[in-house]
Amino acid sequence: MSIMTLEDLWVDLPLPEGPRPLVRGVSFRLEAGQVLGLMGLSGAGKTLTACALSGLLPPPLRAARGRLRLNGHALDLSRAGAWRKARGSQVLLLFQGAGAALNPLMRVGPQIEEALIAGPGLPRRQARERAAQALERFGLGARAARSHPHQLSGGMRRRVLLALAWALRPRVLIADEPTNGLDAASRDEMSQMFSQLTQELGAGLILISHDLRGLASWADHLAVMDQGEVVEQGPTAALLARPEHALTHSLVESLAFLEGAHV
Amino acid sequence: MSGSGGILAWLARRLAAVLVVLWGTSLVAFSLQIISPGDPAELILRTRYETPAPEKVAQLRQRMGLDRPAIEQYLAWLGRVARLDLGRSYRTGEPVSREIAARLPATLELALAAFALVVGLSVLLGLAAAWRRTRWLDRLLQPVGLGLVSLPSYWLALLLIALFALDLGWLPVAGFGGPATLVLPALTLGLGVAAMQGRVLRVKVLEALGQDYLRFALAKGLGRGRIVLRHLLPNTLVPMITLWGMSLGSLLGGVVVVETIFAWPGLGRLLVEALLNRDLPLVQGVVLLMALLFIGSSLLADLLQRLLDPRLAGEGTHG
Repeated sequence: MSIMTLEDLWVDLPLPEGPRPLVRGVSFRLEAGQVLGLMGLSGAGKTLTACALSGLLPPPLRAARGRLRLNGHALDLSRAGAWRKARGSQVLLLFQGAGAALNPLMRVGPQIEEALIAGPGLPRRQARERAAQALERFGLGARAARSHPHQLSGGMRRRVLLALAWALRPRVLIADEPTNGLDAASRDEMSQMFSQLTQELGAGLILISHDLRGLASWADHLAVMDQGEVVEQGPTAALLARPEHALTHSLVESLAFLEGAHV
Repeated sequence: MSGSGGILAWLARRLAAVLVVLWGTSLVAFSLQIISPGDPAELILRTRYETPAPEKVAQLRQRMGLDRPAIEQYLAWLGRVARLDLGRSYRTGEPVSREIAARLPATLELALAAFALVVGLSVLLGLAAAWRRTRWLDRLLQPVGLGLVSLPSYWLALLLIALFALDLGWLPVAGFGGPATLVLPALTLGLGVAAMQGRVLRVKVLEALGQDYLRFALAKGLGRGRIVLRHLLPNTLVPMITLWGMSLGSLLGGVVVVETIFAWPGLGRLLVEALLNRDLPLVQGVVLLMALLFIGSSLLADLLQRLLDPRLAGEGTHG
């Protein structure tokens, strides 16, 4: 059974002359343990789709339509209030630029604990234990928990966010360009940690990227977005072997060209 | 990052700078004695005799060391000040430190009340921005704040007195004693600064609202109350501390006019009285103390900000 299905998502920018749709009728489904790659050029609507999925559209943008089935429960995306409980513990969105996602004035451990208290409603003691466990799971000790974000390296801060995801156990994890700005070795390490995390949680992972090469080796399914619409989707191997849409075609061709140059 | 040496080294550097500033202030305070017209010895004797005999004046000048070179006088005076001996008032003969100690509480009461108004009102205005992006408030605050700050305080005081004391009769016109008498002087002193700082804080709040860590606080499922209290407020208020420290200093300076208008028996009025009486030791004492309070409050604010912001506190990285 799929853990998430999205049907007919529309995101509007209200303008005096009438609403302008930025995301137009996006639908897809996600199975447990599956990695769905959301691919497209800048401005295709990938990030807006992710924000709408976690109820985090920056005003004045709003989801005009869209039905989400999450873990068997239906959510109307056009109603902002529907999100309060699902956010974080059901759907967790990790933004681009992981380093800035942590409050600079707060120690790292409590930033995980507060999410466990707010969402799953753990008592403080248990939240602290689970946070420590989670940090340890990603190779960060008690010292890191007591640190402020600026005392940690970029890689450590990324692992803090993974630990947070591990501790919160969301059904769906959305990662927006998680490997942006990383060198090849850290990119591989990061994708491995993400895959393991998804397996362990039995969650679905939506991966947003414009890097087809990364997605090709990582995602089970691909959805290609262009100008607010999903123009093509399917299993990664099949889609790459027989791209139908012109955009997918050119992306696959340039990938082949790069791979060729690499050899 | 401040890095080298941490907070103690920083404090030592700042204290050294404070000493230099205080020394500069002492030069200015002392030079009042040199450049002001009239002979202190004659002034003192005039409080006792109608026209003091010239030989008596000369005698006293010698005893006070006024016949010696200025540099020598300065060093002797500095030596006494360093031992907290500010001399005696020319007019009353009382030790300056005692005169000041008698007036300081009233001034602190007024300055702290105005300061509480500045902090409270600016935080309220700033938070209003977080709740809703109320653009009309931004448009209103800019001219009103600027107007209040640029209005001379004696004019603002008169307006407030006319409205609240004369027309409405809610508050006493002037005087000292009880909370009711504190309201108008504190408003006069703090209103403009509060409006301006409210604007600064609003900008900081709007800035913080666009930061990733606030969006992520929402993404990880926190409620609005917690986001405001634990994430938004600390990140906007900590950078305000320096500004608040400086404003406390300028409020202390503002008391000179405000205390005179409202017949408030504090340091400001003491200074005005001393100036009118050409009571130099008293003037010097008040000037030095005000400088010390000004420097002290901004130093304290800087220190507080360093302690509260881990990025400034110079904790080492372990990356």
